[in-house]
Amino acid sequence: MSEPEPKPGAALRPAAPGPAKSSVLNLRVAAAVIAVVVMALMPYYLTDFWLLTGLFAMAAALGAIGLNILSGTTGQLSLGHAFFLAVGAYGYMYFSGDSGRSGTHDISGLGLPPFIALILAVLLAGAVGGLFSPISGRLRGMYLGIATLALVFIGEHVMINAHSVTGGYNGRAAEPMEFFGFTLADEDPYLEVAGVEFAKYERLWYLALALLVIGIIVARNLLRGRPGRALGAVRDSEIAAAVMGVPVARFRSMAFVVSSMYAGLAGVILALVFGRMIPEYFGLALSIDYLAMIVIGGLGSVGGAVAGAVFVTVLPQLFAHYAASLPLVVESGGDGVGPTEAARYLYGAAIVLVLLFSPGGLAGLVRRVRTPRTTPRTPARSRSAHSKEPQGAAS
Amino acid sequence: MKPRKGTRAAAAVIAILALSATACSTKEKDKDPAPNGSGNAGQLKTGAGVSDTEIKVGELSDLSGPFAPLGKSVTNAEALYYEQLNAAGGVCNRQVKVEVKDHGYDPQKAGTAYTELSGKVVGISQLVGSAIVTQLKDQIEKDGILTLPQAWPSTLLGKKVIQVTATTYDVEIINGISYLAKNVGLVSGDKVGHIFSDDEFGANSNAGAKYAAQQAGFSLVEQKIKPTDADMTAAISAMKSAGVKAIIVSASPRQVGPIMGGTETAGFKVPVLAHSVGFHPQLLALVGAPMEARLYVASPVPSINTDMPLLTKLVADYKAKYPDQPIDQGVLSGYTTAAMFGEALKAACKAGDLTPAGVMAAHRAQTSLDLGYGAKLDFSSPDKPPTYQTYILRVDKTVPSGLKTVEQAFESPGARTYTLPKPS
Amino acid sequence: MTQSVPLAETSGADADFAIPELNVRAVTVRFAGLVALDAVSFTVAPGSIHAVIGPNGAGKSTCFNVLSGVYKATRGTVHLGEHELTGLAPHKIAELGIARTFQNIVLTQGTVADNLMLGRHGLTKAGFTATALHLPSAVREQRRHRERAREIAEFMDLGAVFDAPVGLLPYGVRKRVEMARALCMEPKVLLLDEPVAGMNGAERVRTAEAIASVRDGLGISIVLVEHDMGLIMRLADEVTVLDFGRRIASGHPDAIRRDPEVIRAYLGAGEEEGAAGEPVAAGLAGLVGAADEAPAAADATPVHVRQENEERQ
Ligand SMILES: Nc1ncnc2c1ncn2[C@@H]1O[C@H](COP(=O)(O)OP(=O)(O)O)[C@@H](O)[C@H]1O
Ligand SMILES: [Mg+2]
Repeated sequence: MSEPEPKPGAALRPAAPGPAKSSVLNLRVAAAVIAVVVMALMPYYLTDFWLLTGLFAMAAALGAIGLNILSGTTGQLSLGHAFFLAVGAYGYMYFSGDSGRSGTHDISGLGLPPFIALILAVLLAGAVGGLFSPISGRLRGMYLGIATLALVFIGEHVMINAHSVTGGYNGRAAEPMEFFGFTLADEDPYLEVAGVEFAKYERLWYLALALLVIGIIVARNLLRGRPGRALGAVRDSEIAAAVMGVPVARFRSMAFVVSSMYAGLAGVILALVFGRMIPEYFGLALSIDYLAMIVIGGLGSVGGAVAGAVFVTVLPQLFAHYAASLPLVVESGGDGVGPTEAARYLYGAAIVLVLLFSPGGLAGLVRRVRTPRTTPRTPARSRSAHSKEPQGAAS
Repeated sequence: MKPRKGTRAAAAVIAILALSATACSTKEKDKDPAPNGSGNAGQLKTGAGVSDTEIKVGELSDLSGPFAPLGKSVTNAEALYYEQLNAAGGVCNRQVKVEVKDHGYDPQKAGTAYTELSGKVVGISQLVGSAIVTQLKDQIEKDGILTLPQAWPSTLLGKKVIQVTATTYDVEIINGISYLAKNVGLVSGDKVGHIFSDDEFGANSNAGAKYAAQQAGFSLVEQKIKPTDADMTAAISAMKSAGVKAIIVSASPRQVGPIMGGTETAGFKVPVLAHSVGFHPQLLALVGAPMEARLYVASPVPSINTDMPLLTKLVADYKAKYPDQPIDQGVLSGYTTAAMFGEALKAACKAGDLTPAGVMAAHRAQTSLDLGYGAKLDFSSPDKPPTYQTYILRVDKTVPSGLKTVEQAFESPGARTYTLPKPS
Repeated sequence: MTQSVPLAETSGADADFAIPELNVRAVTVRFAGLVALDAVSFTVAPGSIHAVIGPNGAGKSTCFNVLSGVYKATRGTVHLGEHELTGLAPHKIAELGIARTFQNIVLTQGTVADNLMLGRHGLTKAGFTATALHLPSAVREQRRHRERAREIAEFMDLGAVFDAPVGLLPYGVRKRVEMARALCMEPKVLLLDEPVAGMNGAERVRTAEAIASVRDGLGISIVLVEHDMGLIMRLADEVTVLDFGRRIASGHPDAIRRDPEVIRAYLGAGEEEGAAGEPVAAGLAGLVGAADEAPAAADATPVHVRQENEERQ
């Protein structure tokens, strides 16, 4: 029982003694609580511009968490994320909306209570993701990426032509969210809290924040539990995963379902925030933005996805807002590098820098700063080391 | 012990934050830029965007996205107009200040940019991109600020706050087809092709083309293309095998170019009618000859290089202010749109009400505004375009805009018998 | 010295944890023209250690791939007790109680614990909903199985690195993680593909002890592919020798080491693939019974690298 022999691994990392570990855990919980409280106070301070930016960032964070589960954790490239956002957004508008007219066309809707519509829209997005599984189960890597790309184009076509559901080019107005007669809109009822008017964006802020917190917790639970381990195994080697007893096809398709549900939820929030959705929004560029978010944030990490979403969403706004006081950037309409271009350069540069120097993205950066171990860039190397397929995997 | 410390610290921070929240939210202050003067002197009513010395006007442009060439010209031209307006004393003894936001044709950026403007400006004198207008129109209506889009589908009609500035695409193509019928000799029974992009612009134009074709007894051969398509071979061969006598194109310059080139190499040299938004002087270098021979451009305004006092002065002033910038139809569009807004401000000043609502009311009260390029504009009905007239332009390589006016403003009989799509 | 492997209370609960016989009957595997396995038959007696040896390219790993369902046999059958395995999907075969390691390590990103818990996938049930909602059933299950995984880690001398990322561990340690992960599946038959390749002498001894104590403690069957003849002679109850996909001998290790056919196969292989020195040398050394241990090898020895490269071709 006593082990006198030197343990080969013992020198690597002493097991953390119990109490120290639990205090770290408590600190993390405290930090999370503080972050949520700070976020909850934001509507008292932020102007509509920043509230709206924050709402977009929160929606993007949810979408990015979903894509990260699919691409980061399970290793399935998807260019079709925008499509699933659209399913959520239009699903919500259809379930909650009334029949009537939008632009030049008649539109139909089920007129369900908005909160029910939200849940149904998320489930619908998940179901559509599941319907894609015959394709996602057969294709890998680049080919899967191209198949998902087709989803975006099919989606664009459907959104423009299914007038009665989507409203065509003209888009469709979204019913505001409502809980027992309390509407998340500018009035109905009018609300003032501590001298600050709580209008649409302030109210939606709390809904989005609550959904984001739930989304983060759910994703962390999943990734740290049995399904997350199975998904990670599928990414690193489908053969090894199968040999460990993981039904690979089922888990690949579940990754699509979960990721689509997150995208659908992000779509619902966007519909609520915009108040009207148009097909143009859900183009390929949106899918690529989401890929950029998870690459910048760090593949496979929930916190990274959130950070990447904030980076990609907020950075251009910072530039637009502070263009006047930034060096080398001129205000929109002036001569020189405008704020949008400047943000785009920085965004491009960030992706290149991340790929070159921190393959783990922002999350990897934080991890490295936090663990002052002398581990000279092993993660990058080890990834390729153990993602090798076992022999015969090429088939 | 340690865990409890962490929790206690968190509780303390929460308490402090909660206290400071109730104590010192600074938000209300920067939300409304003090609409002063409204109580003053009792004469001029003012609201958002108007101070004692300044009138703030917003612009939401695309300076970094697909419509950047148009956005740039329009923005420059509007700046030129307001500069001249200010030099002439401004409006109501106030200088007009423009705040430009770039949305890059991204609905999300447009949304946030709009919140930065709303409440701070008296109106929006430029909004590029019909999708962006559609995205924002409910909010604009709620905020009640006069907005002049740089897009002309008739689906944007119907809202008092949104002023479509000229003939809509459907009416424009009705006028264009009538001109083409007369001048290239199309007769009842002929086949006419329509290549249109699968977007709001194309669909709106197609509604007009259908009506005009039906009225004239043409059979319309339709080809829908993706707004991003650059390969027009399939559409052209469909037109050729159908044996159309003329082709109408409702698409961007990116597609008009290949259509001109493709028909030329296919030896299918039929007349082509396009919208002015489908033309760009850069095409001259690529397909100058076929365009010169066969392209007709239907436009709500004359060529900027037409010999009119307003236009010659505009070209000279623009060249002086922006020597390196190209002179295209966007310059004229921007300048006249800004002038439209300037006239609304002047009328509102005269009426003693410079609030956003006052500006809108004053604007809608104008029934026969002449900005100096020919058309008389009637803004009284939100359900109708301010004019039903169209100019026909043709290619002229010798002038900077590449276009000359061959037919002055006219209105075809079908323009008013056509029923505009009923907006909601 | 080495602790004996603790018996599982979680999975063994259902009474009939009897170890069935593994029966390989006339299995043939063909790859576009190449016959990797040619009507190979052997039987693994319950609770025995059965070694499969042979020169590089003999078809040993292919045989494992057929047993675990990664490759389909062109002809022939594999039975575990009364269950036919041929034609089943790999995860179904895993469910029936076959676990394996890979010749070239295949671990997933994350910690040792994550990898071992992956081994418990088939023994656990928590689905997406239960895990997402942190339901008590899922939490309890995870905690219980983590305890078991820790026991197995400790048994494999991995207790100290239980929470360390596998990417940071040396080669030999990762090799043991793979074996621990397979053990976490509480298998009835354990397939080990070159478990000590690339390990140094001390590591080899410890791993050999672990293998022996798995058999003795758990009574499960082990199929062992190894080039280290000393190890095979010490551990194996029975040996099957493959050469160019054919079974050229089988029987008790003592008989095998004297079998002229086997000696010829190893010598012949040496002549043909002049370059593949070390494994052959090691093999011969074992056969002649001279050395008990192959030369101590550091992380990722040239031997190992060369084997991997060959298999890629
Ligand atoms: N997926 C495959 N495709 C083609 N040939 C293969 C494949 N897997 C193994 N082989 C070939 O089968 C033969 C046996 O290989 P293997 O079973 O890996 O040998 P070893 O006994 O060294 O483990 C080799 O010639 C190898 O090249
Ligand atoms: Mg092998």
